[in-house]
Amino acid sequence: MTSFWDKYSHLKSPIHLLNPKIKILLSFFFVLLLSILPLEILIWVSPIILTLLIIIIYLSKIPVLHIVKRSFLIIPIIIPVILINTIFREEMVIEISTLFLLRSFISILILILLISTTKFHTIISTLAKWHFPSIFLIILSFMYRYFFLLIDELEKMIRSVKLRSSETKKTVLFKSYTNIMGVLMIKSFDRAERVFQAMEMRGSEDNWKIK
Amino acid sequence: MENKINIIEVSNINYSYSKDIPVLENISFNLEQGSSLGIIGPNGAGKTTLLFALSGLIEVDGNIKISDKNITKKNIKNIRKKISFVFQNPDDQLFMPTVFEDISFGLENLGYNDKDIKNIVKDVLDKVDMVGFEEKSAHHLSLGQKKRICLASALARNSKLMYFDEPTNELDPHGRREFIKLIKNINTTKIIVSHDLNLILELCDKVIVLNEQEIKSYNDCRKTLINKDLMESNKLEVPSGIYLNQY
Repeated sequence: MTSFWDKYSHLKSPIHLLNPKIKILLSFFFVLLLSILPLEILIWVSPIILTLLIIIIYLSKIPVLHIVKRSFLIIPIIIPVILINTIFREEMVIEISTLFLLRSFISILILILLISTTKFHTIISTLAKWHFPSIFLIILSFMYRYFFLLIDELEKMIRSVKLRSSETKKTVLFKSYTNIMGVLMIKSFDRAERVFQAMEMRGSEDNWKIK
Repeated sequence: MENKINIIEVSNINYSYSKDIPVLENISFNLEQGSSLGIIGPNGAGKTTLLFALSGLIEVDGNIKISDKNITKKNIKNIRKKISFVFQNPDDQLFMPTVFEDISFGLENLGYNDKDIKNIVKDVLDKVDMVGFEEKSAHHLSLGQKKRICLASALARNSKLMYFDEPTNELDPHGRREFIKLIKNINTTKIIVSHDLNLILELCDKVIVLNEQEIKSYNDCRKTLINKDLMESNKLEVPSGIYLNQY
């Protein structure tokens, strides 16, 4: 079984074998760089970073399709922001939208590459050694742990809808998907409750840390 | 005759999720130290709720004493140190990034140092035959392996009481058999909630039949499970192991 996020983190390419600290530092550096560079410089720097990323993807032996698919996850976030920008701004709409698009897309590409070449718990424990706030790391590890289960639950429910809806109208199908979202939310609350109970049973004191 | 000490004393507990829906009514029983108790009953009988009440996870009316101490808000943390709980769904229980961190979570909360934690984790993983899985993430494991890690995590705490909620649920026959063997080797007081009546027959000395929010019977395990009328009137059936004379 493999995880939704770090599906290829077990490979043994030169990039995978690189010290995780270097990978994390470089990733953070580039994300930070992207977020502070002005558009006129970013336009020139982006192709260089993208070329570098393509070389890394090639060396890491991760299927390009996997990276592309995962990076498209950012689209539901990017499009509304660009739309709002287009509606409410009167000037520099294209420039700001391009800037936002470049920053988000390349940043997510960097992070996908980091997580695909480094085991998640190695990232978490490295950040813990660098004294990142415990609560931040706990939230990250819970997200990682339970996002996978959430996707699993979602897939099961979608499969169940598909199996029973070959002739169904699209509007009814859409309603089913919105119901799925509701059920998923209730299931998440339910699971959160049970996880909390399991934590309580093992003496959780709200002061635990990741090593 | 040997005088056995009661590790659990439950007197007259009641619990309801809302005013109109009682889940447990007038539940009273004692459990001797070192014995194994099975709790059986149809779906919705309140089996898991009773287990939650015995862990102090839900507040109930009435008294529950663990090792002669009433479960109260004040002492609940101390009482929980005496209890290990293996949940029905391992995904609810395994929440840390790696197997090692998950098992050590309970130990850190008990105040063990790093060296002891390492030794205990190694020891319990050996007991459940999962050595070498320390750095694995829970979602990289099969259900049987996850269940073993949950058991290791419960064993690590070396508690006086161990609760199991549907321990063999969804396991394949081989995984089920292996898991039963592991539970059988645990020498502590056990409470097992299960629909798997052959498992109850094999592992428990006594059994509570819970139905319609009440205890319908609390007796010797074999005597209870062989009682066809009692079993059928409580939407249960005599386990096949009795007919096959296996246990």
